[in-house]
Amino acid sequence: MDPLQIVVILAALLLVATLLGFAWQNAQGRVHRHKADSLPPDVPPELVDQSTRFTLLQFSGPFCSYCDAMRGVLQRAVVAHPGVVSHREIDITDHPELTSALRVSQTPTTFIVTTTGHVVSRISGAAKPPVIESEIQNALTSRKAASDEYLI
Amino acid sequence: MNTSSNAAPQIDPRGPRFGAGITMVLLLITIALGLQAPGAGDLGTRVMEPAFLVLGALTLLFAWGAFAGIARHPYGLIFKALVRPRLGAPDFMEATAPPTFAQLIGFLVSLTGVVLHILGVPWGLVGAASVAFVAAFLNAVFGLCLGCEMYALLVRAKLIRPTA
Repeated sequence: MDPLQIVVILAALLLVATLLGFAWQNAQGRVHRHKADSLPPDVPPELVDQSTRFTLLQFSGPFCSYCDAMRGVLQRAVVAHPGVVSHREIDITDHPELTSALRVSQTPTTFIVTTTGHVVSRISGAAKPPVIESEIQNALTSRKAASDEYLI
Repeated sequence: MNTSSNAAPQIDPRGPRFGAGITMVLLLITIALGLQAPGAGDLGTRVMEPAFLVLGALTLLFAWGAFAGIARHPYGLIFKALVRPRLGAPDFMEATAPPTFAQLIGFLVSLTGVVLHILGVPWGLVGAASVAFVAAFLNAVFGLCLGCEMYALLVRAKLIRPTA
């Protein structure tokens, strides 16, 4: 095989691997916002910290490589919003029913949950701090609007 | 609340990633050499081809990581001695079992290439090396360790029992 052909094949292989990598990276930290509150709540209220407005509920699994990194990111968000958000971490193997009810297919998956157990945002995969911050801000503004509506 | 179920020894995740970088370069060289001489000739000439010798060496290195454990892999020792002192503390640590299992998968894939080449299957060596290259590239460049993901899935499905 002549050298030019070899170079083209190696370049194609590098391209395929790079595209696969970007596809995976894109799927990390993907956000899905829940608009309406369901009845019954998405998460049993006993799993939610009642002393803060929102709980960052992290689903982790055995030998999950990025769960430790995600824990650090979420704990820093708790420090940045004292008394407003708290962090809880549960193992998917301890809560198989909840894991399948919420269709958690990868770890870490993080939910921003109200004290009533309603999911505001779902963040699949490991996310960077700005993503968490913007979802906390969204939770604060959207739930503020919802409670104002209720008062009227 | 820390619910990770591993009290087992932990390593800096950048160590296996550094090793995957070296493996990735060696695999790319293997593929280039393999494309130059696609496993023609009799067994004697085939096993003396440079691509076969490099992939054979990589297979032995994967076996080292898989059976002695990732923490005792020579790349890990190079990382510990030369690279880690120049880096800051890692954001998080990683259990040793998943990357060790990933080495086993790497061993099986490269061994497949070695066996196919010995049997004289055309492009067998290049094919196996390409699969291993994609996995090593994703680990080194993106931090996605496919073998580790497989390990976590198999433990969750209770198909393998976690080892320390």
